[in-house]
Amino acid sequence: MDLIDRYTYAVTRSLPQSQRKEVESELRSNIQDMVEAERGTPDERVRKVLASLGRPETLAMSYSGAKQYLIGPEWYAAYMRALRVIVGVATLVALLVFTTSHLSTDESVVGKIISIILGAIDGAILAAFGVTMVFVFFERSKSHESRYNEVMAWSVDDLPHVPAKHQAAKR
Amino acid sequence: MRRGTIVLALLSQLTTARYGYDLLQKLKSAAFTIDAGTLYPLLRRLESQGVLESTWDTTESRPRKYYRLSAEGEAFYTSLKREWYEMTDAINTMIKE
Repeated sequence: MDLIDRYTYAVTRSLPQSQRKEVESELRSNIQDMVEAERGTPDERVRKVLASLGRPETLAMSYSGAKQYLIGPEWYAAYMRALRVIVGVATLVALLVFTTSHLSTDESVVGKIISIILGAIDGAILAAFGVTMVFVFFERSKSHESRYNEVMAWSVDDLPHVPAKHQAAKR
Repeated sequence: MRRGTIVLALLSQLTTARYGYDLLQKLKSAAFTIDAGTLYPLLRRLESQGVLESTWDTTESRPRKYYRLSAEGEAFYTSLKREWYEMTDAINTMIKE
């Protein structure tokens, strides 16, 4: 009995308060039904059933229906595109800024290069973090679908123009 | 492929009211095994979506939560069945060629 208490507690503790009691009673009644159908000593039966239900955290996630990802497939393509562009630009800007600011310092040449490279890496990481947070926000926002449709509305007119060199190669 | 069929299998058994473990056994005896850890949360989710309705029966040895199709769920089940037949017919025709 103690094991069942511990299991139902482990499952329900991460659920919203409003769902806890209901899920707890239902899960307990299901577990008791399953235990009755098993064979062995009472303790063995309980252990068998709880093991078959698996990790309580996993079960809790299925109950809560919470998203188990930060950025889903709908946003992924847009996210990757934004990530490439913005991280690229941020790295270039950081390189430029740090190069100009370190030119006038009295560090050794190697010291300057290292500072500039570290600065650029910082810029890239910051940009990647910022872009990721924005897309996580998009993913989590309530009006997700309508916002997605608004941002991602696609028409045939949106097709990119083929660059001149590709056209030349084809002919 | 299995993901979509679980719901259909579940709904097919819920034209009469059943509780979690009963349903698990029923599906198992029909050679459609599903993890208890998948079934129980799914029942709750389908209920919150209005497909199933539930009542607690406290007259038996222990309180049990019974689920069955709601009116909305019956319509959903009918349309899922139609889709299933259409899809299996199409696939059967193709793989027999």
